[in-house]
Amino acid sequence: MALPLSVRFAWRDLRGGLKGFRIFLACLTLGVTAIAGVGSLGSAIRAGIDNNARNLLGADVEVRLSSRAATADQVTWMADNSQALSLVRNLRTMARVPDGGSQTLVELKAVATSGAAAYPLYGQVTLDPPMPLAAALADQNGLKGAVAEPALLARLGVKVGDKLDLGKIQVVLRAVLVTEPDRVSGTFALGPRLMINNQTLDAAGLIQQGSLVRHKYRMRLAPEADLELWRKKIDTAWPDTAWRIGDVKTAQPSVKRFVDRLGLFLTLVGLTALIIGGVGVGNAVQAYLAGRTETIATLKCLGAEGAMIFRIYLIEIGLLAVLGIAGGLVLGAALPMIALGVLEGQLPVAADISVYPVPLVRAAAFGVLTAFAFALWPLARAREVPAAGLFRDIIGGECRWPPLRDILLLAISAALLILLALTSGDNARLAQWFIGASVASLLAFWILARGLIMLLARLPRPRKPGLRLALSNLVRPGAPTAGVVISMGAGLTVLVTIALIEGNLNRQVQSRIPDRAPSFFFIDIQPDQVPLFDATVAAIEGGELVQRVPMLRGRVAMIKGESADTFPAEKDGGWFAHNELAFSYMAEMPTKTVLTDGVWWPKDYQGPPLISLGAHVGENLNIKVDDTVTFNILGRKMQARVANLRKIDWTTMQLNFSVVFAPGALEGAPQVHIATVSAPKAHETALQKALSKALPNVSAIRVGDVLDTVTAMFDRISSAIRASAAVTVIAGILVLAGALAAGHSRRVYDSVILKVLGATRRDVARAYLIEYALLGGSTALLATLVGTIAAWTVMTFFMAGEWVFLPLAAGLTAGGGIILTIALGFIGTWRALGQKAATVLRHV
Amino acid sequence: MDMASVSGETLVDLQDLHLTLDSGAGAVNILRGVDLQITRGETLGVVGPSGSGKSTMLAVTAGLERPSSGHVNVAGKDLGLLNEDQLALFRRKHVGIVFQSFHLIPTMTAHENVAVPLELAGDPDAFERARESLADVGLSDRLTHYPTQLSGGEQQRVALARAFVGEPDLILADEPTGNLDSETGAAIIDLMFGIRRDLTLMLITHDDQVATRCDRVVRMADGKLEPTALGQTPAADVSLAAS
Repeated sequence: MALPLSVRFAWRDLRGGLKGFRIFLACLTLGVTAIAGVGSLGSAIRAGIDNNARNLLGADVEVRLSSRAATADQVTWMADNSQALSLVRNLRTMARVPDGGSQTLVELKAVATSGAAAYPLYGQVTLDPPMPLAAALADQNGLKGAVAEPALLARLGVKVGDKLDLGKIQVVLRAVLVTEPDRVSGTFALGPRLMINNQTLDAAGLIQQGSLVRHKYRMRLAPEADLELWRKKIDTAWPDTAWRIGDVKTAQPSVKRFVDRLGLFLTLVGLTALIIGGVGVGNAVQAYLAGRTETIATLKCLGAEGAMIFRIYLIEIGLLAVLGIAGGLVLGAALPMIALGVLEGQLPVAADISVYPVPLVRAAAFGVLTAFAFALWPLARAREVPAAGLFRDIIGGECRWPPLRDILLLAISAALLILLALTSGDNARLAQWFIGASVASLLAFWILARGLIMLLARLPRPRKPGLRLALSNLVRPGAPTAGVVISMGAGLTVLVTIALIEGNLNRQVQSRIPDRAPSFFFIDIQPDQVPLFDATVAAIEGGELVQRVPMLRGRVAMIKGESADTFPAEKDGGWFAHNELAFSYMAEMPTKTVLTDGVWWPKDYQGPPLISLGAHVGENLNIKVDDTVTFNILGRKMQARVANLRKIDWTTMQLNFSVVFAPGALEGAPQVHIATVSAPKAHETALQKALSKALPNVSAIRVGDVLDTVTAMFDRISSAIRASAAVTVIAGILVLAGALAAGHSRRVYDSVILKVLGATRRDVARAYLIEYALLGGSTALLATLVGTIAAWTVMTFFMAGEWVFLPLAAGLTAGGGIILTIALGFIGTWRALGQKAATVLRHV
Repeated sequence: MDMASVSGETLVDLQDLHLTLDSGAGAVNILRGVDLQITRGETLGVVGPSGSGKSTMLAVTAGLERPSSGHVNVAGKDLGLLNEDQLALFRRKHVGIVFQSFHLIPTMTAHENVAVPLELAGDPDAFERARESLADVGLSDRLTHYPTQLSGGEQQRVALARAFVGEPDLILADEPTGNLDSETGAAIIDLMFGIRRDLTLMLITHDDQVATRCDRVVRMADGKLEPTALGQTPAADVSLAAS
């Protein structure tokens, strides 16, 4: 019986309209939209990957080898154990317009085109003009065919039918490559795609010992084949082979990881919006209930118990929360459709648009818990409204503390919210940091608000009436000071943090690197080509060989006597134990090398193998000086002792290796050289042409192009970050507006009384200006401090980058916050000042 | 202890009530030893200057405020033994309150406002009885009006209907005419005294004329009760604070 009655009372109360709940609804809807939208988008992309896993991998199972082909026995084994085996080879090389025309680095892909092994095993290649791929790539009239992405045609200024020099041969462009089923866009590509067949690649003479070629043996298995069984079979047949095996179940792990990471980051941003919104929810509920104090007291006088009061308003807030959350879910579910229109072509794979229940349920849970956690305190306080106040007309004022039960309930809902945040992504560490930082920031702003109020209350009252009024407005009971400080502070902190991180990254990418960066990287220099390479560089005016080092590839087999497979791949440093690595060897320690432990070997060292290891690897995998690491280099196992640990600064654009061997171990192994060369801008093209003519197999990578690619990727990520940060700022503005609006009627009353007593509008306006400037200024100061700490933490611990405080970025953001507070506050005040005194006083 | 000479059942029994509140400026003694008995069917007027403790005594009698010391027994219930929720149930059953500022619930119609106490008590005929109660105060035609659509006098009549609708044992009225002009105020008092014959009432007022309508009148000064010559029964019959 009791519940329907509270529902009836709640419904009657809500009939008056949702006026007091606009900010409540806006905050909740915004936060839920952000979380649901981000989750739905992530699910759509993941589903896109899963549904197209076969096409994206181009096979049921793929065996990958770098810089070397599988042996004949291995190829036979693979052919015997599949329905079809198709070889795809990728490498970076130069494509040139014949007769000294322009040239560019291309991502070359050589494919099989005959019979059951024809590329692609899954999916379709589309060409323009339409024709079969095999025909486009075939030899016709003595000319080998090729197809290329539109970007290549644009870059070299060629069209279909034109010829290109490729290594030792010429190819003719027969068509434009429109779709490539296994291409993951947006990944790190230094040049446009050029596709030829495997015979053409062999004829071009581009593959030499140690060349950076990726061999992909793609297989189609019988539909009923058991992938795990197949993997076990290949592991048994070829136990110690340093290849990587991918299958449809593990397709595109890097893209998935990227989507997961970005998704987690965006979820955290959404959560920030929701938490800031939660402050707004709390403020709105408090303001709403403050307006209901008389009703609550009256109901108590008429015999309603505290529990009934609690239920009535819980139902009201619950109903509104359902409304706000439902709105957020609808908008969030629709967000991928809107976002994908904007992000067309920017995503790595085509997303599969649909309604995904899991992210929506999670967003709803976040919404419910946030609304409940932030509304509970004002609700519990409402239960304690003393009804006796009705006799004295001093409703409000002091409330008793809510009982322990309510405080426990609050703690439980906060704990559930934290638990949900912790279990929402795969990066618990980031989530922990986030939660810790959020709680600490909210606490810091709460303490600041209390401290500010206490400090201002203790200040001697100034003689100037404007200043005195401003101070009293900040410290009087029911002033919005705490709400404004917390809401604006949290929003501004996010902004300052992002501005500083972005500024630091920009600084590293754009201003710092070009001073030190060389003009070119050259890869695939054969040992016997070294003298010619060096001479060609020296012959160009201003050409300078910055660094040239030998390079070999291999994998780690054992670390400190334990198999590398026992190190988890997903942990920091896991790549070292699981990926193929590039090594070098050198006698002398390069200049500016910083050893963190151990010593460099003597120049003429000729003992058992020693290595110098990157300090970050040592730290992540707990490898110390004198520990042993066993490498598998082209099938040969070699155990080496760690001689020293070395700090590596990857941003210098120097040739750096995580593993550098001492002389004596690797000189005899097949290897290539890589080099960095600098040249004056005016001679860069001449240098590139001279080298590609003398050494057609050597590929040049323009550092400028790499930087452009990195910058473009960075820009894409930072616009995503900025867009999501905007959500938190909107939440902050909503809360700020709500907090200020809550005090509006009070402000109208104050300004009318002041006007009655003879104050001009200017006097009143000045007082409010001082009030908002004080409020905005102190909040911005703390937000800058907290934001700087957060940005420093992220840069230092998560991005391992160099940190510099950027006063302009922080100052502009904080200054913007002050102006916003003053502006929003002033809009409200202006309306208050415009009220006619007589009208207001009649209703007082 | 002096006893009231009025025969019949004692409905309200206040014994040696003290109430001290802490304020920023120090402790304030609001009630300083109040003894008072009201028998069933008796109407009692309480007069006295502002701040003398009249409203606080009313709040204590309604179980809305707890005394620092002393005993409160109303309708056979020792209010000191009841917790917050039990006090709410006690009010629901035994007490009707009329305020100076009406305190109608602004989001409810006149009809709903009057029905609230019955709804809280789980009365299935709440709205029918509320309609009758509004008819008793002459507001049959104002059922669907919200408080803001009613005049001050009409609002107070709705408040009267609300206080009486549950047929409580005791009506507590705190300056019910304080916010009304004299003519409307007089009409309200007429209504209040006319609704029920067996009315037990504690009426706080500043208006001696209104007070004289009561069976008995006491004066509150400085947190204590003292006799007054007002009222329809001899002042000597009033039980007074001894301390």
